[in-house]
Amino acid sequence: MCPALGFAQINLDDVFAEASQLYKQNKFNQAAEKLNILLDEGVDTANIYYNLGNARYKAGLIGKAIWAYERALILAPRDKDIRWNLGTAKASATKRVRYQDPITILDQLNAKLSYVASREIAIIFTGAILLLCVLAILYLFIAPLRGFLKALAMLNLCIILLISAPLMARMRVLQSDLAIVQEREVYVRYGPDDSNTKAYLLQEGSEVSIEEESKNWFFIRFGEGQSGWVPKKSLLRINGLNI
Amino acid sequence: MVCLAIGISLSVLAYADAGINIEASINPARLSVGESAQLSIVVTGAGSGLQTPQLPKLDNFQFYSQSHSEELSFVNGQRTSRSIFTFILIPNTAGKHVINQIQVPINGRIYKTGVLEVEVLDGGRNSNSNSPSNQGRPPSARIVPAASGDLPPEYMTGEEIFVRPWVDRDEVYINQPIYLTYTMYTRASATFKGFDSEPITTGFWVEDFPPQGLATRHEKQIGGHRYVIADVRSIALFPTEAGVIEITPGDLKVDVEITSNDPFSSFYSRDIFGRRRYVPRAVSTQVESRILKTDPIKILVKPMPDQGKPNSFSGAVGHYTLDASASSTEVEEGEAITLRVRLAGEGNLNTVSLPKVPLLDHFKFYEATSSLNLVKDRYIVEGEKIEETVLIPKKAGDYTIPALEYSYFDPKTEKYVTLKTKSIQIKVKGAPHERLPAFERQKTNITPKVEESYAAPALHIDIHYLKDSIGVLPAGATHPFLNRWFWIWHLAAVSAVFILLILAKLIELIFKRGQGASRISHRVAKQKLKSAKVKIKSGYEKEFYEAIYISIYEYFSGKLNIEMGAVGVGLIEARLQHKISNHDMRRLKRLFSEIDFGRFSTAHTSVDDMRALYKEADDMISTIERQRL
Repeated sequence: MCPALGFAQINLDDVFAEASQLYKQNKFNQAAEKLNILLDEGVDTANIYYNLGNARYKAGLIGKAIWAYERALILAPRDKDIRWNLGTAKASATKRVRYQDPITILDQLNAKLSYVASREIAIIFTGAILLLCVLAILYLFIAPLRGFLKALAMLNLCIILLISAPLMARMRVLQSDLAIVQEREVYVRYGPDDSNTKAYLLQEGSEVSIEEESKNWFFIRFGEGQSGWVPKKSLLRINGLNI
Repeated sequence: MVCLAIGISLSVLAYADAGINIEASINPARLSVGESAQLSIVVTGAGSGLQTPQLPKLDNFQFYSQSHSEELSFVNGQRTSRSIFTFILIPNTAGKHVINQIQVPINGRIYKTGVLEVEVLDGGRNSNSNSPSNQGRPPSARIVPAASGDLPPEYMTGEEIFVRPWVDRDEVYINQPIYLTYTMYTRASATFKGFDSEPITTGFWVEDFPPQGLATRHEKQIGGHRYVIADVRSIALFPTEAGVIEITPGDLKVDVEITSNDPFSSFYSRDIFGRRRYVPRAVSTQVESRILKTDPIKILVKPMPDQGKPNSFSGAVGHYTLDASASSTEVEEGEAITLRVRLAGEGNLNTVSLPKVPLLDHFKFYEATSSLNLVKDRYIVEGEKIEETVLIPKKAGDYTIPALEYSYFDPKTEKYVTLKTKSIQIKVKGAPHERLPAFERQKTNITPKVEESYAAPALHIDIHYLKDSIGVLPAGATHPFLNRWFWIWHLAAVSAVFILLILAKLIELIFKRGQGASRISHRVAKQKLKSAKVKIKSGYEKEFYEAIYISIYEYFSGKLNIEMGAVGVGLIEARLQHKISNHDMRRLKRLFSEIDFGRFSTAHTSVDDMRALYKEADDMISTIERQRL
C-alpha cells in the first residue's frame, strides 16, 4: 500500500509520539484520534494498529480494540504482544459471538500457518518461481549440470505446489470478509431496514462474516450459521475498507 | 450583620480515570468572614505514590492543615486506597472567592482538581455553631501560654505591631514534636492576612494546626503601651535528624488600620483637587498592609539514647497504646479470622509502622489492610493506625497468635517503653468433609502430587504496554496475492520458462538431426567394416575395398551431412581442418588414398595390407567419433 501524497507534510514519528504522550496522560480517545491521522494518511504499520488497539481498549471500546489488534496481527502475525492483547480484549468481551466457518482442510491449514504473514507466503512463492526460472535458464546453457539442475527444478516444483495450498487457504480466509461489531450492542434484523423484526442481539466485539451489502446494511453470518442484517456503521471490517 | 452559615457544600469531581479518583469539596460553601470552612480532598486509587496536595495561593483565606487519613484494603485480590486530606479555611474578606485548582502529586505526576467557589458574607466574627471547627470539640489539651512576661528584650522596642514566633522547647529528641507558635502583639486594629513568605522547616516533618475556635487573645501593658496579644498560628514540627537545625519562621502579612491624630484632619481634608472639605472623624482611617519580619530559631535535636534501646524499637517517639484482637477465637477449618492491630496515641503516626504478625503454620495469611487517622484538634498530633490481616486456618487444632511487641521512646520520661499485646488463643474445629477444600479431601486417601509449573500465576490480566516506535512500513501490499497482477506475473514467468524449454528442445532436435544421422552413419560404417573384414577372410580383394570405400564414404556423408558423391579428401579436409589434428588429417588422407588405390589399381594387395587397412579405417572412424564433431 503506497502512502498518500499528504503524509510528507506531517512528521510521522512526531504524531506517533504525541499519541503515545496522550495515552500516558490517560487521554485515550485523543491518542486514538492521533493514530487515526496516521492511518488516514495511508501509513499503517502493526505498531500503529497495536497502539490504537491499546487506546481503544483503555477507553472501553472493546470492539474497536479487537478490530485494531486483528489488523495489527495481519501485519505482524508473530508479535506476542499483539496476540496477548487480542486475547485479552476478546476475553473481556464476554458476550461476544465468534464466527465459525465450516471446518475444512484448508481452514485447518490456514490456522496452523497463522504465524506467517500473507506477504511472507507470497514472497516465498515468488522466490520459488524465480528459482524455477533461473534453473531453467541454467539448464539450457550448462549442459554438463543438466541432470543436477533437473533434479533441483523438480524439487522446486514440489515446493511451489506445497506453498500453493496455504496460499489458497489464506485467500479463502481473506475472501470471507470478516468484521467486528464495534457498537456496544446491535440488533440483527430480518431485513435491511429498521422497521424489520429484530432477530438477534450482538454484543461489542462479536465476529461476523459479511456476505452481502445493500445500501447502508450488511447481510452477515455469525455464530453457528445464524444470519441477518445489521447497519454498516455497526461493523468494522478486518480486511477490507471501512466507512 | 450576623449571617448564619448555610450548610451548603460544594463538591467538585476533579479527576476520574481508570483507577484514580480525586474529589475536592468545601463545606460550607457560604459563610461569613472569620468563620471556618472545611476543605476536603479525597483521593482513591492512588496507592503509595500519593503526596500531600498543594493548595493554590489563597489570598483571601487563612488556611491550616487539619487532618489526614488513609485506608488501604485488599478485596478479591484488588488493592484500593483512599486518602482524605482536610484543611480549614478562614476567609478574611467578603465576596465571591474562587479556590483555584489544587495540585495533587501522584507518582511523579501532577493531577489537578477543578475550581471551587466560596461565597463569603460580610459579618461579625461570632462563633458559628455549624462551623466544623466548633462542633463539640474538647478544650485544648495543651495549654498555649501567652508570651506576656516572657517577652525577650529584643522585642521591647515599642513598635506598634510585631510578631514573635516561639517554640515550646529548643532541645528535643529526633521525632519529638516542637510546637512553633506565632504570637502577634499590636496596639492598632490589625487583621492577620497569612504568610508573606512561608516558614522554611527543612529537616522537620510538619503538621499544621487549624485554629481552635477564636484565637486566644488578651491585653497586656508592655513598656508603657497597651498591647493586644493573640496567637495567630501554630505548627507541630517533628525533627527527622539529629544536630542543630535552624527554623526560618517566615514573614507575616497584616492589614493595619491607621487613624490620623491631626485634629484638623477630623474636620478638613483635601480632595483630589486640593480643595479643603469637611470630613468626619470616623472616615479618617486608612488600612495599611505591613509585613512582619521574624528571626530564625535554632533547635538542638538530640539522637535517641542507646542505653536501654530495645530490639523492637523502630524510631517511634511519643506516647502510644497497642492492642490486638481477633474477630473470632473459635472457627472451623477454612473459616476466616480478621486480626486487628491498633496503635493509638500521641506522636507522628505518619512515620510509625505497626508490628508484623508472625506467619503461623497451618494458617494462610492475606495481605493486610491498613488505615491511618490523624487528628490535630487539641493542638496535639495524635491519632490511630490500624492494620487488619485475614487468616484462614487450614487444619483443626488449638493455636496461639503470639503477643506482639512494640517499642517507642517517651520524651517526657526519656525512657523507652515496650508495649505488648496479649496472645490470642484460636480454636479451630474440623470442618465437615464436604466443606473441606479439594486438596484437603484428597489428602485423606491419596498421596498429594507435587505439581511444578514454569509459569507464575497471573495476579491480574491486562493488556501489554504501548509500542515505542512507529515500526516498519510494509513495502508493498498486505495481501499481494489478492492482486490479479501477482498471478499474471507469476503465470507469465512460468509460461516463459516452459516456452523457452520447448524452443530449446526444438532447436536441439533440429540441430541434432545431423547428429542423429551421424550416429546412424557410425553404426552402419562399423557394420559394413565388419562385412569388409569378412571379405578379407574370403579373399575377395575387390569386394573388400568396395566395402571399405562404402563404409568410409557413407560414414563421412552422414557425419558431414553431405551427399555421398560429394565426399572427397578436399571437402573433408576443408570441413575438418581445425577440428582434428594434423596427424589425424594425414592419416585420413592416406586412408582415402589407399582405398582409391585398392579400388582402382590392378595390383594385388596382401591380406595383411587389407587387415591393416581395415584396422586403420576402424581406428579412423573411432577417432572422428571421439572428436564429437
